[in-house]
Amino acid sequence: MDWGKETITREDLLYRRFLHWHIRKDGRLSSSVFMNRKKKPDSELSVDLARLTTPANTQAVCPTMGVAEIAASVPFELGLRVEHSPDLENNNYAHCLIIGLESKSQCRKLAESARILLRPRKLVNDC
Amino acid sequence: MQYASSAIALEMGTASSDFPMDAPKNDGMDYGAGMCWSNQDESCSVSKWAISDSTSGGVLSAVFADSIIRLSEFRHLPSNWDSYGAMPISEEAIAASKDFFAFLQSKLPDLAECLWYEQRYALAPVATVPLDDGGVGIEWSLPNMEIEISIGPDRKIECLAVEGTGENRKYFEYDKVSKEEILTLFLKALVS
Repeated sequence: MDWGKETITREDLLYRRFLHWHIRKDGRLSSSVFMNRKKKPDSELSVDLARLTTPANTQAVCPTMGVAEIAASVPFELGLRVEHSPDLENNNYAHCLIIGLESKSQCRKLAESARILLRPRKLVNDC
Repeated sequence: MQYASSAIALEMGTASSDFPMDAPKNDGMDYGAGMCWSNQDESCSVSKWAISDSTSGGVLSAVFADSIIRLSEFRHLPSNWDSYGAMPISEEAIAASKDFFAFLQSKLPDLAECLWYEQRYALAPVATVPLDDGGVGIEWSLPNMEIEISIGPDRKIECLAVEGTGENRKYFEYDKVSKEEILTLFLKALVS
């Protein structure tokens, strides 16, 4: 199957999974939801493109996790790239990457702009 | 509110009129070692009882207790715990996090005595989180600053400080920061 690539625009919405520990006591999301510390520099952060999936489908990868939504305009305004990158191995055509995260403040700004769509449960599956 | 093993005594039945609403912190009255009076409305409920803590370190044990419990939970996280390929949390990062709480506990008691009741509990982290590289993140929302630290699996600490709100918000990042430097940020946040 030849999966074409979508162009991500500022009007697009992106989904990211997170755990119950990532909800701060003030109700906001922790910056760590948008961190990829394993790979530096040119960190790549996995997200799903909302118009190609649903929050439930994003959550189904690990059902105890929550789903956060962020507008693609936010990483664009931070100077980051958002690219459609279908995950063939996991049959996820909606998979995208936020590319270029270099600083904690960028992660923080992403978290400040995100909203919780689906809340996580306090169990941790081996996903 | 969960309390650790500090000595906390409750004296029931004290009338609210016994406590002046605007009592300064050092007016010579003996409210007990752990008692601070707040001018906020919710402090009226405190008037029924006094908290006496034999050591201010015990109060700090209470504010860090939730985070320390979380650290023990992180030990059981498997590979890929975040569904994006995260690594298990390293024992070094967990130990370094506990060391950091112990460091704060050793350095802040004198300051804690000077804080209003609710300010002490501002010392409680708003988040203690596992990080995908096997480290630990801890976040505080203090009166004049938000502080986030990331403790890596190699025990190195990075810090983000956020001052101001809205359009005036400013972000300050520090790589390879020491515990003492972070303490300076805490003091700036609590005292200014």
